Amino acid sequence: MKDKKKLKNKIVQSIFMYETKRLTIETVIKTIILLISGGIILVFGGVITDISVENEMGGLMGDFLKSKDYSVSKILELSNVVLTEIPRWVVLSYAIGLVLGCILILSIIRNWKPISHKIRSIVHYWLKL
Amino acid sequence: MDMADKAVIREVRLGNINKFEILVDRYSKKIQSFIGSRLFDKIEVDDIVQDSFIQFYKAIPSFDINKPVYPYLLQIARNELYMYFRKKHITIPLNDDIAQLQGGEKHEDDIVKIVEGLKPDNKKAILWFAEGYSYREIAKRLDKPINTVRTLIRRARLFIKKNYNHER
Repeated sequence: MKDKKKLKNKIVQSIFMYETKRLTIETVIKTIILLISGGIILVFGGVITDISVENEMGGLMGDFLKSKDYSVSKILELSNVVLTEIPRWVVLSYAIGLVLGCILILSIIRNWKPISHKIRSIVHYWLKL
Repeated sequence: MDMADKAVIREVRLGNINKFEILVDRYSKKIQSFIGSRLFDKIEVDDIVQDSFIQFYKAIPSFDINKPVYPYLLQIARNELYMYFRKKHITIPLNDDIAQLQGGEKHEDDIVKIVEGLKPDNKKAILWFAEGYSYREIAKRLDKPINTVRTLIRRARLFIKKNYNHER
């Protein structure tokens, strides 16, 4: 009976050890990705804003919004102007950062329930609450 | 509270890891006796049981909830045991009768004699297999496809088994 309890405790401990390791690694990786994508958004967002201000694209955008004529040709025309003024790789990097960040945040939101339960179980187990 | 396996797995999937204890409580004894009947070192038995449960835990996200837990767990335990044998270069006995008689020199001589009667390729394959070489390594040494090696070993085993029973 004592042996069985010992084995059970050993198994449960190894499961919690595995899950703690996994969750820690996952959290670290996700945080790094989030920081990188946040950095990309900030840096390239800043660059894009600077270029837009320099080229007075705000007025162009304002005109577009005011005209209330959101036809495909107008949108294409506007994006063409934006793409010629702003280097393509800057826009691409910004978009990648944005998509990466969004995917990560969405995945966290989607899996929030199991993650929070896991964290609670792990804390309860290791702190013997 | 007695929870059905299905409900326990659902809870574990939801992140309630502590519920896994219920499955450990329910099946650890059975798995332990299964491994214990094939291995006599208690510490090793416990380690294999522990590894089996960890493997099962890792497989829970992809586990079909409508299937029974015990056979699945048993298969994992069996695989873990084979992996242990392979790692330690212990050959898996041909059958339980021979395993029980492993200590007797006479029986060893009998088996050696039977092995001598095998075809050259079958003999090489089974001897390398007994030394702990993997199928892939044997295939490389014999310069034959891995499936052929499997067949060679299976035929050699059947030949030994048949002749051993015949001699007894």
